[in-house]
Amino acid sequence: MTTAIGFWRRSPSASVVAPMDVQAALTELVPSVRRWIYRTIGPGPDFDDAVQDALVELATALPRFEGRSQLTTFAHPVVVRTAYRYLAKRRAQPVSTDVDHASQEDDPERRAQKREQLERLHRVLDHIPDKQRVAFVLCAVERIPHEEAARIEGVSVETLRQRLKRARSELARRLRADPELCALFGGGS
Amino acid sequence: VSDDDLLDAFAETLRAEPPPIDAKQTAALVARARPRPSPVYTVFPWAMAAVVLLAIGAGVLYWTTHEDAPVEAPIARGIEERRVGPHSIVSDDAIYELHDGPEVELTRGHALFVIAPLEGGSFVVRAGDTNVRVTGTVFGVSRDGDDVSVHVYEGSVEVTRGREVRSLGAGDSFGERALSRTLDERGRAEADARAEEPPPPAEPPPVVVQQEPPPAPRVPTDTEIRRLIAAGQHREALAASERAVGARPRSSELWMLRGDALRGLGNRADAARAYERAMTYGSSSERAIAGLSAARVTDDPTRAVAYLEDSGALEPSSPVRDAAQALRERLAR
Repeated sequence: MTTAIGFWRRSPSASVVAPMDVQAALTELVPSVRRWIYRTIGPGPDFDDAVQDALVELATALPRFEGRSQLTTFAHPVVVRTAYRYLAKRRAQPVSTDVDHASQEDDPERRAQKREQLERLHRVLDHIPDKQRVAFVLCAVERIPHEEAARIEGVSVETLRQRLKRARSELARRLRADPELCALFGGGS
Repeated sequence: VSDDDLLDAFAETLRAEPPPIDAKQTAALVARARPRPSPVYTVFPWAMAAVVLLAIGAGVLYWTTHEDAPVEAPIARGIEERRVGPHSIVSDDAIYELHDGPEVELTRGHALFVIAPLEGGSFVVRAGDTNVRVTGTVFGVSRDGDDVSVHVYEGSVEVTRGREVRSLGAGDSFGERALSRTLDERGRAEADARAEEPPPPAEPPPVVVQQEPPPAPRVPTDTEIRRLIAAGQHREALAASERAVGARPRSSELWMLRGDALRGLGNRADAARAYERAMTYGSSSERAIAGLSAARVTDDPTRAVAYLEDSGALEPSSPVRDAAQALRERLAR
């Protein structure tokens, strides 16, 4: 089962370079990859495809990983690039979000409510440019420091801050324009 | 509620976890994640082989034919001036090829030829089936398809077209097509300048009448001399440059090569003098390079600085400015 001993990870406690299995690394990354994709593009019928694509990109990129950083630090930019591709695809060819990516709620009614709410929130995100959306997700949702988010995006910190500022301004305007959503977050009657 | 609080609550809601999957599903995801093949391995191997074979074929073709190939095949646009040894070609929106001989093949446009007196050799311009042969004169040729005309400003030329052979003197023209105004004015100016020069000691060589050029003595080309120098055969390079200088005494490049050969033989004083001659005949760039070379070989620091300054090697536009400045600073120390 274990194949492709293709990259090396530097042990943090010693200078010995130990070989590492790509598949083991991918297995370790699956939860993070799914979470990053889910929070960036939201639920949808293309969520599973995006996760699988991101894993393929990682399997291709991992042999270049030299173990000088954390595995997730290496993987996050790769996953974000994949998420960008899927956001662009959605803009070109809108997809229905009517898919049962249900949480593990037992109550079917509550489960449906939660899904509907999440889809509605992501529709708000759909109204801002992808770059601003990713900046907002990285900084506000994932709570990643600006410097690290800028590295993931491959832009300067100043550029990232500009995107984030515009995203926050536009999202606040849109949330306030929707009384129901505004009330949901305690911002209105 | 402030915008910040509203957005924090919004982000908090988005901080949802995807629906969980079990170990079996995770393993399936990982198993399907096969790395993309490297682009290198996806290239069709025959395409790679074809590229290699083409490269080899092109190399063989070059090495077997480049001696006979045109020395240069420029495409001239607008007004361009090119020096061919002691001669000048001023072209106006012309396309021409320059071959050994020297021989020029004019495809279209206007060209003015300012030919230095030749001893034993000739200079030929071909424009379709019209050939112009000279041994030293100023004349222009204009061509548009089969419409070819020749205008002589100084000396005389022989024009052959099919079986028709005509000798033209200064002021004569062959054909109806006018030369461009710029070249016409330049031709008159060159002719006037020559009229002011002291007459040559001997009679100018007569116009060559025969259609086929007489076998000219073999004059080594710059490329041949350069190869001899590169091979370390400085004595042979010097001998070859002496023969070539006889035919092209005002070629800056030739004097540079002669300087290189002399420097290779350890004769630094004569090398400096040769570079000095190269400075005399060269363009501004050639002057700068020759000046730097002369400054490097001379043993007299004062003279070396003079070479650098006179040649323009220290000027901002000089192609060897940095090297020249470094040398001058070294000489100053």
